[in-house]
Amino acid sequence: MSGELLRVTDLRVAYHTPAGPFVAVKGANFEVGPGEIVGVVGESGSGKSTLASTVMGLLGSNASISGGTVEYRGTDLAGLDPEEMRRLWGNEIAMIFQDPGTSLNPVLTIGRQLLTPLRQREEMRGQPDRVLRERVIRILDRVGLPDPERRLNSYPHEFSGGMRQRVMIAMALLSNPGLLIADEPVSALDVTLKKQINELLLGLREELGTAILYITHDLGVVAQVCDRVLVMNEGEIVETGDVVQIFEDPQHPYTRKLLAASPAARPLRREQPTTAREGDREPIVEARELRVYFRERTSPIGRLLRRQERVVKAVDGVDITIDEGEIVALVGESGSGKTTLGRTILRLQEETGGELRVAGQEITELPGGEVRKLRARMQMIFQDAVASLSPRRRVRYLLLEPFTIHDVKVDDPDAKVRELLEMVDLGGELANRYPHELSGGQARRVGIARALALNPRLLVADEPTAGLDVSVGSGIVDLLSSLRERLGLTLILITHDLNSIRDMADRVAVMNGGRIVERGTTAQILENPQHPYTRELINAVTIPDPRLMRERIRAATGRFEDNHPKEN
Amino acid sequence: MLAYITQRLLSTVVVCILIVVFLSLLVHFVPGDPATIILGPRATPELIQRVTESMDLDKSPVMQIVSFFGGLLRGDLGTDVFTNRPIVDIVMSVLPHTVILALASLLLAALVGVPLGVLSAVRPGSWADRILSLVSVTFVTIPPYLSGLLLLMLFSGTLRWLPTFGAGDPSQPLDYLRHMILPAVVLALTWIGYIARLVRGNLIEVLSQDHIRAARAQGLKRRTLLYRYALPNALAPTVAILGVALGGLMAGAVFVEIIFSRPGLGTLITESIQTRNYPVVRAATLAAALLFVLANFLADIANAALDPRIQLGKRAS
Amino acid sequence: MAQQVQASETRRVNWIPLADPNWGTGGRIAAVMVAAIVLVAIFAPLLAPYPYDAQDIPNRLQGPSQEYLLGTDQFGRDLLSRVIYGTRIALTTALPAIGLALGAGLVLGLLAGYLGGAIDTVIVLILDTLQAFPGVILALAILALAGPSSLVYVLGLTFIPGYARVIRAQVLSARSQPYVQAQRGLGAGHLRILFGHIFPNVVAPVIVLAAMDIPSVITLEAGLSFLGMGVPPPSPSWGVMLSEGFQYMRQSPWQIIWAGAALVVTTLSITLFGEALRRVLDPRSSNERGGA
Repeated sequence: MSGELLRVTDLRVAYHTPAGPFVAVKGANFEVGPGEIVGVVGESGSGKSTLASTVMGLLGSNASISGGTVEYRGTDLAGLDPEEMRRLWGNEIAMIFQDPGTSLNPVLTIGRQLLTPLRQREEMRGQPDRVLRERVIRILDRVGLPDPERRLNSYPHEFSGGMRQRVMIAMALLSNPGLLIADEPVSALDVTLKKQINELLLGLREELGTAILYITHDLGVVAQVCDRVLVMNEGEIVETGDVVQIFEDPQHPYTRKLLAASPAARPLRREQPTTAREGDREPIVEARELRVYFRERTSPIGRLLRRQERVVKAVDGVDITIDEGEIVALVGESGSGKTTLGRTILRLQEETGGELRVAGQEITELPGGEVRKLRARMQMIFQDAVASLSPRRRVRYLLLEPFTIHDVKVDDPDAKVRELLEMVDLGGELANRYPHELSGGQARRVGIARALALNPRLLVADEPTAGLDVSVGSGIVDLLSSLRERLGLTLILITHDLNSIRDMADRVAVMNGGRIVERGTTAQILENPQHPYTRELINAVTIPDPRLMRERIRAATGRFEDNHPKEN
Repeated sequence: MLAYITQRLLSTVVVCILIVVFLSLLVHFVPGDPATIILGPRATPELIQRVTESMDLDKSPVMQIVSFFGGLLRGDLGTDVFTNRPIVDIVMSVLPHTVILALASLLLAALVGVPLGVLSAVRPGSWADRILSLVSVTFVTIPPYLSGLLLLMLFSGTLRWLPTFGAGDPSQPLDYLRHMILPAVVLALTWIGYIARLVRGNLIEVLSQDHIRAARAQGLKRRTLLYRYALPNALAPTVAILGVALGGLMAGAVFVEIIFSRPGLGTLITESIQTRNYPVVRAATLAAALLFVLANFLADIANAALDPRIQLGKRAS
Repeated sequence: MAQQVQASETRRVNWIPLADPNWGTGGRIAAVMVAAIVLVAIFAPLLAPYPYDAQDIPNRLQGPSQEYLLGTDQFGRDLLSRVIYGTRIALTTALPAIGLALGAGLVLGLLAGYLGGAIDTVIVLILDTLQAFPGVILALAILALAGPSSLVYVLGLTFIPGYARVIRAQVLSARSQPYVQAQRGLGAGHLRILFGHIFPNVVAPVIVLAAMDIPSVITLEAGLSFLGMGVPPPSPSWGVMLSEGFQYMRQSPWQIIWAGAALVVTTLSITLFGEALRRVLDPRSSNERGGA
């Protein structure tokens, strides 16, 4: 039983498509030792998720292993019948998935979802329910779910995303598996939650000796949790090595490219912004005591029944001044109000109270027609780029539409379309595509081109790099920077990722709970944060530096273990 | 849950009130003199007089709504001008036959349709699935009056196992039941196909969802996965449809009652139309609509009980 | 990526001539059947061997023969000719009725979905009320007052809520999509957003719904005619034929059999055609595919 837990030899996996087989994994070789955390990192389409599903034996019916073997403790998994496979899943190999929102059964209580698999274990046969329940409660407590006994009767939708992922982990650990496969387990979570879940996984590894095959696209996460790393590109493992070696002495050109594209690798913006303080120059946006409250939507009948309406204070008294030509980042986690603030500045969202002046003009009282005219001067780039393009219109139509809307005559539409596409480094051949025929990066660029069509003075970019592969995302950042230089734009960047704006933003405003908790130049905020929340946020940000990340985790895990004394 | 029920109950009451308003005013939507529209051009002045009085046609539309509504609450919708019986009595005497028939068909459709749907969802694309799909499409397309006529021909001619005439004797449960078999089967056919297709579609979708994959990765038995994890998800929307199905079954009952000469709402409505007895048509229509609304209300509550997410205030419409 | 793009572009070019694999064999057969049914309806006078109301009393209630391929009814009228003309009646009542429902549903659905608020509440309540009646019973109650000449309107009315709801739901979901937000951000007006961007997304599901509803309308029309409240005799509506066949069931089953067969073949073809159309217009919703 010594040696490796998992051995993958020459593994090839192919998808059967109408156009013929598509090989997603091209000859993978690696091992995972007991208690080891092995990271598989790569961009979308690299085959890393296929690799995880294959090891788990959960390939869909449209894919199959076309060569090689997957051995667990010396047993070839291909030789197991479904019943043996099932027993392996229950006891030896477990998996957690990316989206805890869809990975739990919505109509069963979490108690039932934890107890049912436990009851089907052989060694649990004949055990009274009380014993099983106690065990479930103990595991839920271990993964940090507050008040587990009461929450057994709750349904998944009653939990937050982070808590759902904890429940998922509890499910995976019910049987003390030897190997845990984690497929992007923190990608859907906010930064601080990301850190907490990763800390939890590390703590569990220490305690239970579970090996983890950790799939992720995020180099920072790899640095945080992994012992060894496999770098995948287009179905091949291009480099394998110790985590420190991979980050500090990468051998393969692709690994180097990946590391260089990581936003954290960019230099911090240090040049003193022309406006060191708010309001030094001509302000383009001035908000005073701006408030945006949302009422819980109820039907007329529902309103009769409930006397009190729940009010969500998305933006709760924000003062901010943004000067002509600067780049200001609004940073915060989901629910902090950053997107609502951005939308309110553009009048895409009605404010509840306060003042808002754009280019010196008070716009809260402006009639609809005037606001529409104003729109030519201020534009937004939306987070979900593909969805922000009307699905039944071609790129050409979409790019020319701003001119139609604002009655601007275009002499040569074709030339205009080509010019706009060129501005965002896209070829003219994209003009006849529909939005769903564009890649994520292309769609984002088309969105930028459309926003810039009418030469706006103010651009609000909502998470411009979210959901993109690192290399594509860094391309978008470069594009925005160069456009700002060329066109003298004022840019408001909305992001959850402090790193992504480190070389772009002049100033940063950190938001939490609808308020700005700290503001300053980018260097000030990143290097010398004052507010505890800012510090927590910065501390939680993953950066591709394994030594630093480990130090942080060690500090945190120590604290963590104090809170949760080991079970007897 | 209580808040959800109260909310649904209130909107159900609002719809019931609107139904009453709609039916009181329906005659005014047709151009012409209301009494003449109802009774036809050859009606005697005396008959016109009596209908005008019994339906308050000489009063303002608002008063007509008020008196119709008040009458409904008192359980008094006037007296039938032809038989001098209270209209409510006439409707109530046939109503149970239709309700029992519709409920029996609903039960039959669910008991056959759900297993068929599960069967074909478990192996989509297999021969069994293809045959079931084709059969269920065909069942859905054959209207109850056609399947009713065909079964009537078969059982009144060649096979004589089952009675094809009347509702039987209500005081003898076995006889009543025997008379109900053919009509109930005819009515259920359409909905067997419909429910089977619905369950199949929902189940296939649920089986492809992440949480089933996750549950599979926990080493659950296939049967547990299918019946305890996937099926509850697939059945919630099916239960919501059963309310709609009851309305469809009551509509289908109109034909079946006529073909198998059963007493019921359908026979009452068609006979009353032939005798130009609109007050009775209106009362029977009202009864059908109120029943349908009630069924939908119950189905929504059952759906909410099966799917905890619905109570969040999202309606599954 | 490049492959995918090409695939979707080719699909766009040639979906009309049935080359799209999403049609499937069943879908293609159904499409041909639908075309044949439409042709029969258009060319009924050329195809029918006799006028539909030509009586031949001595040869009444006959089975199929050389002279009368499908037999005759209680007045000795040729059943084949009546079934052929029946196609015409079915389509000429069903299509205008669907058109009516579609038009009214479109207006109500777009208004309710886009404007929201009090207008939405009122429209939804009206739809709720209309839908609170079992279809046939509502139609009977109105026909009892307005007479058979209002048949098309009544048929249309019973189908309005379905369309209005689907369109409203589509508009509501489209309204919360980022691309509508983006249009507002560009400064687009309501009309441009509604008709330039939301409407094109509503069209495909509505076309599919209409195709799937035509069989229901045909069935309802035949049912009302069967009850004597639809198309009046001597017009050879299939429902009228079934009703007459019902009266003479003991003497001859042929009238029921042929009218029933025509009804089922027509509705089944259109239903399968509609399902195939849905697969072609929206390849993403392919969970029904195994069945075809």
